[in-house]
Amino acid sequence: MSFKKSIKQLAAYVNVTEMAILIWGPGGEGGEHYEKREKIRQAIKNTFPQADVHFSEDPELKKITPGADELTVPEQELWHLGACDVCIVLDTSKGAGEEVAHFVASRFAYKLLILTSDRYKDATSFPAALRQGKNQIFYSEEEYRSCSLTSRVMTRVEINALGKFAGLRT
Amino acid sequence: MAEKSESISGLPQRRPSLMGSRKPDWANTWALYAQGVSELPRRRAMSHLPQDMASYGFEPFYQAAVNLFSEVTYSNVNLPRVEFPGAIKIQIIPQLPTEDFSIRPLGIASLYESRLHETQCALQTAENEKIIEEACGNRDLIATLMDDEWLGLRLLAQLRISKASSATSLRSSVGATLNSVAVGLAQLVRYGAADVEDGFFVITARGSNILTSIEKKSGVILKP
Repeated sequence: MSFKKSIKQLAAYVNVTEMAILIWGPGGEGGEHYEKREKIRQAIKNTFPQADVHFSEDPELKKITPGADELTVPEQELWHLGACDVCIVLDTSKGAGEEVAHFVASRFAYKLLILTSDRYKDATSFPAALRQGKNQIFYSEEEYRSCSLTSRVMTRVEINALGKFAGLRT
Repeated sequence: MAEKSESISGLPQRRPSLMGSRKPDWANTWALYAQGVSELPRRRAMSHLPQDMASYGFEPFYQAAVNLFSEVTYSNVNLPRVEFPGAIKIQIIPQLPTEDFSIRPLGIASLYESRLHETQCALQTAENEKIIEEACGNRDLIATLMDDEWLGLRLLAQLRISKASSATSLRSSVGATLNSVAVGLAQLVRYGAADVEDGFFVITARGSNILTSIEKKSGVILKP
């Protein structure tokens, strides 16, 4: 097989890698932001058909959490974060912001991909300081409306997938 | 052994098995549970703090715990940036009276527990920061491998067979512009997958391990 074909085949394998992906963000009452969260989930499923994509509130996740009934919600979410390959955080709601603040200091913080509006780029608040330098991507309003934010998420997922093949923690 | 087969279009029909027996339904939470990852919360259980053990009525265990703390010393631990508490010697006296000069083991043990906890938190924070930094570097390296139609991966595979190469010779081997090759090589060197020896680019052990791991897990042989 030629080298070009080998790389083409590897690229195809990357897209069918088994991955566990978590998406945190606004709930059903979040309007357009919840829709964006749904769109990101659908886009990941379309591009990575073997990926298991979940929202933190999905009841399926409770079933796989050891001792879930005796754990608080943040404790359960720490299990979810520990089990997933990458956690995308749509930082457009109070709840998502709280989740970020709660988990940026955990040993699984490297799995977070925090999507924040560039309106908050120079914010000096306490939550902003916590997020700083922790895998944060700032997006413009235009990027949010178009598909470019989603494509940046796809790139991150693709990197994680190849990282699994390379045996690297990503 | 990776599972693979090719369809007419060249796309794999079966996915490669990366995780062994791992099921795609997040079953690795139980693997984490079995590993006993310390930060992950467990089911509620009895505390093993000495004062709590005493309240359960386990006096012998309590005494053993206090004695154990009196033996703890961190003087031989050499970790930077973390201040360790010193050893505390506790003398256990049964039925200890509470005069002004007496030492209450329970209080000192609690103080020691508290300082130990602070130290453990500082250690954990330092370790977490290290993990984040490492993962960030790994992601940048992986992105370099994939960028510009997988130029980084092509360069790395070329370096593996040609041992030492100049940017010009690599340019003709991979069929890219000198500018792209220079950028790709600079990134590979930056993230430790390649190095420069006597003016020639060589693959490092890290770069070689990455290629081997990709080949082993995907079943795709990367030979230019």
